[in-house]
Amino acid sequence: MDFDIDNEKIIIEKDGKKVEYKILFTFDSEDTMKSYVGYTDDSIGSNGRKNIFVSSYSPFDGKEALESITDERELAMVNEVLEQIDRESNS
Amino acid sequence: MKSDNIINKKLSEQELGSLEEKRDMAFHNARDMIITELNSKNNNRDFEDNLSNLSDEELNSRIQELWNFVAHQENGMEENDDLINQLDNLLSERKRRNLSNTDVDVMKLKDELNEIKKVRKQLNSSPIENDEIINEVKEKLNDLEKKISTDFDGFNDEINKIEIEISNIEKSLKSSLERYALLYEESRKLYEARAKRKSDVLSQDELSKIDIEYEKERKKLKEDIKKVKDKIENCKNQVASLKRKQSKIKRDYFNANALGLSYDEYKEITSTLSKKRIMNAILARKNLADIVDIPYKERTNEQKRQIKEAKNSITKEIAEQQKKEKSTSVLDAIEVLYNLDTKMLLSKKPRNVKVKDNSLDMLRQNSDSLPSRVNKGVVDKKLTKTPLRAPADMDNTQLRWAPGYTEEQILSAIGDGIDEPKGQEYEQWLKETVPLGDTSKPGIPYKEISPSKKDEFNTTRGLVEKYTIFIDNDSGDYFARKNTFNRFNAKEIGNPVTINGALCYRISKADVDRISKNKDNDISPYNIEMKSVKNTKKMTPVSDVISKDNPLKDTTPTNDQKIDSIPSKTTTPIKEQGTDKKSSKTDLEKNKPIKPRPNIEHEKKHSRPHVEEIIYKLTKDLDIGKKDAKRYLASNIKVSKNFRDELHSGNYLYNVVHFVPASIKAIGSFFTKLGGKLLTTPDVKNTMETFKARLDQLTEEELSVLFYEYRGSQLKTDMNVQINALIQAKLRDYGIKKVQILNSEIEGNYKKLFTLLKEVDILENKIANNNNSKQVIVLKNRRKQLIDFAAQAINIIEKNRVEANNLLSGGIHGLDEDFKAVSTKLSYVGKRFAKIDNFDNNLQAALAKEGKALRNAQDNKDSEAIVDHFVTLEALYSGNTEISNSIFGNRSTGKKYYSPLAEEFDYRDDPFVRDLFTTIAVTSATVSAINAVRVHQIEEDRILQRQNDEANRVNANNDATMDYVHQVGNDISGRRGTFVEGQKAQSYQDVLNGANVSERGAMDQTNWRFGAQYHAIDSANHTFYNSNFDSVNASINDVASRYANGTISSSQALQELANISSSSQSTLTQIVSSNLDILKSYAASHPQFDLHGVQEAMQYIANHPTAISDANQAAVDVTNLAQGLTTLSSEHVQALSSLPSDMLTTLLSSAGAVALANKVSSTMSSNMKNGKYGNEVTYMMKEFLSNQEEQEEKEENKHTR
Repeated sequence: MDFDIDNEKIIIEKDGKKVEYKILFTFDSEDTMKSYVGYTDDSIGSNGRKNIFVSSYSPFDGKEALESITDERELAMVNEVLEQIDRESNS
Repeated sequence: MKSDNIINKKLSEQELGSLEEKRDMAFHNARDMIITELNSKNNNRDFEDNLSNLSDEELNSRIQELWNFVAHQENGMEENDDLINQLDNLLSERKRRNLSNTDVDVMKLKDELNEIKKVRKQLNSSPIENDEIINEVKEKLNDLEKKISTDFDGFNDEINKIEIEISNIEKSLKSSLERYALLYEESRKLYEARAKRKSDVLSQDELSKIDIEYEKERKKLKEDIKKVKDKIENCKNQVASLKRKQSKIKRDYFNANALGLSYDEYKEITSTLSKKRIMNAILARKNLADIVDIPYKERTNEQKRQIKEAKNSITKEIAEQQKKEKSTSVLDAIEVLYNLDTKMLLSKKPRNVKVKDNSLDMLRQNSDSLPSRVNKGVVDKKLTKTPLRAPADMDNTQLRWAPGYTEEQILSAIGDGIDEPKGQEYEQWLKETVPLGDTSKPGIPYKEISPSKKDEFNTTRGLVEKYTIFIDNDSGDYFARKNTFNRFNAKEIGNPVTINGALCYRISKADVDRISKNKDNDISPYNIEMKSVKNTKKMTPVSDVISKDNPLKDTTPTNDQKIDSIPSKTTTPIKEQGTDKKSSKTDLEKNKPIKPRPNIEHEKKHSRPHVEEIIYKLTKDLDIGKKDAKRYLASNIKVSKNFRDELHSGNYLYNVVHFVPASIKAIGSFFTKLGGKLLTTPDVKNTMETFKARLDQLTEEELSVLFYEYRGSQLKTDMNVQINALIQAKLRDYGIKKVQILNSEIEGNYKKLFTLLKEVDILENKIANNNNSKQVIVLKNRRKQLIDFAAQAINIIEKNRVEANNLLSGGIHGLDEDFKAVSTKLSYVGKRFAKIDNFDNNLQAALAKEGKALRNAQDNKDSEAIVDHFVTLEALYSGNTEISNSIFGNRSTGKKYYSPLAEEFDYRDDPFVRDLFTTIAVTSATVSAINAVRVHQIEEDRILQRQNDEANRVNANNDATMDYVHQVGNDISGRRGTFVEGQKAQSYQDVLNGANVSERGAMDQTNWRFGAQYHAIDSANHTFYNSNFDSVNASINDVASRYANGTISSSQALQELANISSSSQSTLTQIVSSNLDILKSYAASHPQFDLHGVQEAMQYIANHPTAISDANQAAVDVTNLAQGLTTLSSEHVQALSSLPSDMLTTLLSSAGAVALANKVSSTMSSNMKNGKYGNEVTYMMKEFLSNQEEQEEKEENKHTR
């Protein structure tokens, strides 16, 4: 099954409504044996910024669920990835 | 010729047999007939000549005589052929004379005679016929041989063997038949000899002598003929059996072929399944136990068909399992498929219960002197001699109380107490719950013997049970046979040994003392014999793996278990051991069933594996990845084109949120695609799959080690991040299953306990109202017995509960988790909304007192006290537990939370923190609101209008919700106006903030014309505002962190936020008020700036200084009634989060607080719906207590009348 990042969507049920989220980026980590996905519903936060969500997914535990990232090392990794993406996009 | 036709026809064995019989007869008679014909020709000549001289009467009389003589001869027709011929002639003569019929059935007789003659002719040539039959058999075998393939050796061997056997039998058959012919020849000669002798003129004596000799010879010949005939019969049967065997072999071969098995493999399966115990056990698993119990002859055709089909499918299933798991034996396959302990099934023998007649008589005689209850039981008891059959599905675990009996069933089995209970069933039920190894009470009730009471009962010590205790002279250890343990409910220690050829286990001294002490009891006395034994080589050393003293004693690995290197990265040994682990592990080990092993002399010493051993076993040769990476590295980064373009444009700033926004739905395919693409290097995938397979193959003991030891500091030290998720999932399942079993037992024992207590009440009433002293004694004995059983049930409940709790909670680290979980209240009904009351010292004192008393009672084995204090303690818990139904749904509001069953705590992260801050995107709280505002185009009028519209819309929604809330709480309705005012004020303030910033910016750009004083004040105000913002922001973060680590509750967090809001609000209000006049004068002089919106907003704020504060407080209260505000809050969130207002004020506004409430309620509403209080046990307790109260009331009323 092919994964087309430009056209793939996540549907999240929020307050009883289904909201579509576009996928912005994905990456893996063999250190944690997880995959990560960044997605957005194009909503704007109260500070005027666009909301991007980043969650992890474990392909081996049999649960089809996105999980919050709470580990500091994972968060650091996410930030590094974002910076890298930003750099590459502007170069 | 007819005879030729007969020869060529293919005869069945039956046909052959009957024809042979006829042939025998006819053969003999035919020859005799020829001989006698010859001999009687002369006689007949004379006879025929004389016929015509007979009168009619003489003729008939003669016929009658002859007929009577012929018909009643014992030897039938054999000896009377000449007479028959005479008779035939007489009959012909009569016919000729046309005389009427006599009583003799002439026609029938004639027909019979003709028939005999025919058969004789047909079966005349015996040698030719026998050869033909033999040839027939040979031909058939040749055909069979051609059909059978020569590829399968086993099959061929079998067939060849059968052929050889048939060939041998054929030879034997042929020789038998030849012998048969010879004997007939002899018989004929004998007859001829006799006839010849008798033809001489002899005296009567001489004739008699000849007859006697003839009879003697004939008898002998007959015996020989019979033997030969039997042998022929036997040969025929053997041939038939061999043919059947051939068919079976052929069938087996084809079946084996169909299943893809070799012949030997197929035979192995069928021979294993031929063992009735195993087959019956499997059929029971397939829900055919009812049919199995019916004797074969009584089964209907349908039932037989079902069994046959089931057997076929079982064979197929085993074959497939063997194919799937190569090198699995048939027994192993059966164990896997049907969850059966085949070794136990095969080793078990039915227990024969036999009582000798004389001992039974003696019992009956003695029973007269026993109390009536016991007397009745003994007299009426029918002791059967039929052996007991072990249940087909009995497995090796202890008899656990399965809560299969309903209360009605139990009570109906109890009866009314004084009559004989209907329960042999009941008695069995009582005994069933006593677990093996419980040394507190013996399995069979006994009475403490005191000298005074001994005289009450007239016991005899005639035939009593005898048990032997072996003492090892060298070690001083005690041993006993298995039956001793069963009889006295003693605990088997260690591995079994053989003593004098019998299977024995070590028994504790305490048990030996107890057994010895009570041998002279009144109810079931017995003898104890002590025997010394030497420490011979037959006695294997006892490895006490279930000893309480040192459960980790034998930890050095055996040669089989030695591992080259254990890849542990720890530098210090793991010293921390949970204090609960040992006892819980020991308890677990204690309950582990001991399987009897047939070859106990060669018992291997087994060491408990170490955690690292097991982890090594799981990860050996697998490339798991870096274990203690300080920095995680990302790989395989993919970015969407749109996102890249967006980033490149630089038009956007982002909030990065690391929390999942809400529950994920309907994205299965996404995961498949995502997971499919990522981490798909074959090595990685294989590694994980292999790891999972190894996890599934861990033994019970290894899982137990991981469960108890791979946690806490051990877990932290190993840092096996990549594999922990998989291990934890496996261990979780392991633990939960064990807990389920224990909980099931607890529940069953509670049922039993309450039933027993009811019965005790009944008995107590009877005792109180009974004047018969003997009956009273019986009742009291019965009551004591029930109390004993109740105490046993309580002991089991307590033991299991501790064990289950330990299983759930685990060691020290687990306790930490429990504390945290308790503090979040997620494990209580109502979750976060459960009330935690103030500590009640008095209640605690009462609980302590009862708890201490219970322990004392258990130490003293005082059953009455055990029951009394346990019930009181449980009543205190239950009585102080309160669950009230409120707008939150069910929530705990009492001082205690009665949890009779072990319950798992909710260890999930508290979503409240996440919801509280992510909804309003507080993760970006440090971002300047001013920057946010600058992104958007500010148009004051539009903002104001939009704000008003939104506020009105939100308020309209609020109305409906407020009405709802009105109905359920007066508090909220009082705040209705407050909300409205707050909303309005907020909207104005938002405008103010937005406009304020832009105003300042705009003014800066247009060369601020205010005087320096204003400018300075304005600047100072803004500075103050900014610094206020910073301090408020810091306060918010402080509240959030304190809530996150559980220092403050959610309500407290909200209250503090409201306080911050109000405090900040008042500051803002001051600023607004102080600047309003200045602005007014400025606005009047500067019409080019349309500041009416700002002015209006400022005016409103000034006129309603406490509006927002009040609204905030109201929101705090409203948050506590979150359930009713679902619809309200979502609108608020939508409305407010899109406004370019100051983020801080949005957070602190009443609407924001309500948005929080919505977030909380929407997340928690489903949990509240699912949260349920109570279970069957708590209901039972309540019912019991309420019954007790009723009883007590009745008693009180009785006394006061």
